[in-house]
Amino acid sequence: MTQDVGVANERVDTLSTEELTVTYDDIPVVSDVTVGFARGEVTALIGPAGSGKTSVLRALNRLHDLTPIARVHGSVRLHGKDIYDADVDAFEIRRRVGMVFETPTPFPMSIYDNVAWGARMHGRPSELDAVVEHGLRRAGLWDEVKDKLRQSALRLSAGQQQRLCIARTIAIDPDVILMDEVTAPLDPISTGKVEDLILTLRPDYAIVLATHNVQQAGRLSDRVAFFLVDESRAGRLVEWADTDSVFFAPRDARTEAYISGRAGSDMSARGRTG
Amino acid sequence: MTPARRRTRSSAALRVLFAFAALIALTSVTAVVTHVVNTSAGLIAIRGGTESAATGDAAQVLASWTLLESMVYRSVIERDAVERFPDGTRIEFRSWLNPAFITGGYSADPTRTGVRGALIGSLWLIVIATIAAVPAGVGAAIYLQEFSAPHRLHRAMRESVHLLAGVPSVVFGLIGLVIFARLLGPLTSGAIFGVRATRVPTGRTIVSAGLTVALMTLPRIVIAAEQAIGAVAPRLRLAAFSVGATRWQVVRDHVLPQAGPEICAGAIFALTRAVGDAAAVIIVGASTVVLTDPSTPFAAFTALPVIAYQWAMRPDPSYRGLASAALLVLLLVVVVLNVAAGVVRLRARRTR
Ligand SMILES: Nc1ncnc2c1ncn2[C@@H]1O[C@H](COP(=O)(O)OP(=O)(O)O)[C@@H](O)[C@H]1O
Ligand SMILES: [Mg+2]
Repeated sequence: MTQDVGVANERVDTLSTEELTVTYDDIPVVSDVTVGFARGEVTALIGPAGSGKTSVLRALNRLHDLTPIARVHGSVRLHGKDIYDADVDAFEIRRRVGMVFETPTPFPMSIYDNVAWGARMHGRPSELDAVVEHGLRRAGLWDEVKDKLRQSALRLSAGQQQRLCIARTIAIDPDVILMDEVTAPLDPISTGKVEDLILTLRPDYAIVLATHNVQQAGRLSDRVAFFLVDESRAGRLVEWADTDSVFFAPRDARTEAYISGRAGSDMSARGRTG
Repeated sequence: MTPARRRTRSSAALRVLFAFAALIALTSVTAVVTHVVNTSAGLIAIRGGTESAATGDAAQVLASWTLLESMVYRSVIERDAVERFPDGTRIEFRSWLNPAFITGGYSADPTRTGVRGALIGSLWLIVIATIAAVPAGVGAAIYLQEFSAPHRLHRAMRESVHLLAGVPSVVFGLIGLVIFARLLGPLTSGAIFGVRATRVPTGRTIVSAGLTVALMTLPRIVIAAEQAIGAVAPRLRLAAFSVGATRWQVVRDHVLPQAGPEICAGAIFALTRAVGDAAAVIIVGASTVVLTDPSTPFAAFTALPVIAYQWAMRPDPSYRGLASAALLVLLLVVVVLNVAAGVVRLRARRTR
């Protein structure tokens, strides 16, 4: 009870960036991004193609380390610790910050091994079956695949494959899940399933969802970060706020133009559970 | 002109060029194979050698005709031969390539000699070169593709690998002679291991030749493996890294299984090229005559291309047919290996 009231209201970000800039061949494609992501929230990164959403996401789990021409400047903090510090193990970071890609990318292995492969490297072998089942259940895929766990994952439909990729991310027990346009290649029904899934995962993770679909951002997110390419041809974070205020009271005229241009006024489908 | 149309036109020109190149390649391959087959069988005029080899009565081949000549002018040849080679001479049809030729050992009698020693020698070379070159080559390719940052040294290494792939086999032969046969002589002669298989205690043995073939094959294996590894979808790698895998785990569980069949096929292709090469192996020390089959890697040896070369150099008409027959055996080995490579590739594609 000694705590200050102001502190109680402050958000504690699981993952945050400060002045994050990503360059390819020393040319910045997204600059000076300061944003935070908290557990229990879905943050939508929206903006037109090329505004740097993917580049930001890949900075959050050090995936740019694998692209020789890519450089990350500024800081990215996970639980307050800069993940680019010299003493930090990038592979451990990627376990704690999971990622799902636009194109469903199951491993050319069995359904079981897809979920088990990552988990096996981090957990105890004796619990593997349980971890796999848990991952598949949380991804809403268990009932569909429980009888064919040994079948190749490549024979699943695109939507099932994408949920399998989410299951395999859940199985490594991350704190943050990055999702890059995960529904872009899916049909409406599969998209609906993945969207429902994201909402069921929301309480337990900090979810960062890059999407160019403004309606989807409206349906799923608690907060929105809007990116736009400025006159220097690098992506900028134009606005970062609660979804409601971005949609109904945007501070920036460019945000309003983008939201209204793409989303119209259809906000009825928002599936907020909180 | 629109860019699209220009592209169509240049690709048409390219296609004509490719078709032309393919035609030339096909023609020359056909010509070589036809020649080899044509000279590997036919009518011969032969004297003696009817009894077993034990009598010491070696057969003497006085003349030979190609398969084509024998089929077209059979009666003319037979009539002529009777005049040219009176008494004691038989005209008979002979295929120099026959089961006894493949399984037979060396004999001074050309009608009884076999290619078994050389075949075993070539198989030894394949085995040793595979053991030595494949792990090293694949390892180097993995390092270049997955672990080394693309700095200047990396570029230099890759360039030098390509350069090495173009070095003539004679040069590799000299390197092998100096390093494996001479410098490492105590090792490659087996003396250190107490083996006394060689008649002369030198390092000019199968191991030396096998390691030389390995050296010759290595650059091609590196290049093939690098290509196969580079062809693995980047998004598969990213996905694997995204569940917290280390580089080694990604290589072991995703990159190698995906690239494996192509690596395998590339390695086999590189090995077939090297096993058909005579120059390097002759320099390192393939013998002219090997009376006993090589039973250890420290034995003196000969190989199929070497024996084919030596036979082809002899003036005696019968050896022309023997050389062709040895080449056919070599071609058979190459075809078997390439079919194996093709099967591996097809299998992998089907299960993917
Ligand atoms: N590997 C790369 N090399 C060079 N430029 C890149 C690379 N990846 C992305 N870019 C460029 O960076 C900019 C931002 O791309 P991206 O982050 O993918 O944006 P978004 O996900 O919002 O579409 C684009 O102009 C794109 O062309
Ligand atoms: Mg993107």
